[in-house]
Amino acid sequence: VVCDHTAKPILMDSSAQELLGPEGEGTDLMNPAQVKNRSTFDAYITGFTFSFTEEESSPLRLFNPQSRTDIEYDARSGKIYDQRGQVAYTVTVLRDLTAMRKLEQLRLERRMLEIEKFAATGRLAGTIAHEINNPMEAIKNSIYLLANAVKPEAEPVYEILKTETERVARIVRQMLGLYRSPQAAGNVDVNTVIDDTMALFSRHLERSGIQVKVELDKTPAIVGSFDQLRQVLSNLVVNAKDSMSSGGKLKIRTRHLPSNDGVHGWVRLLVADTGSGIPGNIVSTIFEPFVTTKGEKGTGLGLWIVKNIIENHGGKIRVRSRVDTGTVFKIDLPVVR
Amino acid sequence: VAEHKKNRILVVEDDPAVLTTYRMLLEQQGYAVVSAESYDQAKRSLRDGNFDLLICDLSLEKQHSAFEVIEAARQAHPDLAAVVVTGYASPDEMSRAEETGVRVLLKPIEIEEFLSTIANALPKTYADHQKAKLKDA
Repeated sequence: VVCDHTAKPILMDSSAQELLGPEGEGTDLMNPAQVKNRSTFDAYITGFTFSFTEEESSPLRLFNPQSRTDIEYDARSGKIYDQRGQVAYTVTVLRDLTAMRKLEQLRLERRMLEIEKFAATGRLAGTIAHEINNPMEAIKNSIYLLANAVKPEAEPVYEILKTETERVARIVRQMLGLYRSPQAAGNVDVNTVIDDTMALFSRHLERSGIQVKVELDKTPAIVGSFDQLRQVLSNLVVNAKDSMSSGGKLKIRTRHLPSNDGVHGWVRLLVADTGSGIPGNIVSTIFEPFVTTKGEKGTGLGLWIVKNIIENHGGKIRVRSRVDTGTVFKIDLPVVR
Repeated sequence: VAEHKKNRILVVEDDPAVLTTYRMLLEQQGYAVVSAESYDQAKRSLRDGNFDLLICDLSLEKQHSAFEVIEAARQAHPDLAAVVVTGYASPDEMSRAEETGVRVLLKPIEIEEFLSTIANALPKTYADHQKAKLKDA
């Protein structure tokens, strides 16, 4: 729809005419649906024509004669100026987003199901870990108590017993991290997740000689699980800390990346450290289970859990790393308008 | 030479195997240990003797919790030091522990951390006494 400087439509294609009636003032329209649509459109385009913004996008509810219902259109407008810099024309494109929104709704529902499923699996793992924990504690203590009772020829076996038990203990610990009170998926502010998690870690990081810099952009809410996202951040922060044994810098940043289709958008989360980095030969498998850079000290489950959670949220995670320089994790979580 | 008074510790844990290992670990360190497997047993032990430290599992049998034991113990000795051990603590329980001035150790517990936490939680006089002994030696 092209309008002149008084916000009067002067050029429309046939589908726009179906919605808004023929070009002109619109004072002689007879079709009630078109009268109503025209007044909605007039209010929008008048506001835009006399505003100081160069472009605008906004949802407009118009009656669609084909489906005989009100539909949300995405209106996007721009201005054309004359030589004096005054508005000469405005150009508006109206798009029916129903199909896209429906698809998005389906995706969202599937995502929420995946998040719930993960939470249920996590609770199961946590419950099992809970039951293993006390026997584990008794075994570990008993091994320690027997240290002086081991015959020299049995030493190697005793060492195996000790290190392998410690490994199981770490895996149990990691699984217990998934044991949380059930919490449904809902709207989550990523920045609050960060504040919450960092409040827990800040003293610990400070003591380890790590300088923390948090830069939070204003971001829209995403759909997901607060607890699971906190788990993601905790795992990344703990990894960053472990990779900076002699201190360093940890930077956490969020940004809102709107997309230009009017429906989607992303919240980007960056977690960057100046630590020891991930060697090139394992960086491509780092999200697989039981892959670790921490040798005997790691479980290889942390990043695998992170990736699962992010993917269940419809998000993407990428990693860039250089040995002795540092590692950057880039996470994009989808926003639905 | 008078033998110096041993620190007395009450350990409350409803898993008997874990309780046995805690008792032995602490005895190895030279502490005098009394162990209790239940809330009621813990209360009886508290009535019968004085303790310098209480170590208690967070979730005890019959829905009893470590906080009940700590409360009962502190009625008689308001500044009794306590350490809570557990496999899992909710954020609420963590903040309650902080309010109560109690350290929480998560199982499986590193034995070095277990022992150093206990040494630090014990009344200062004993630590000072040990330090003095080291100086003399």
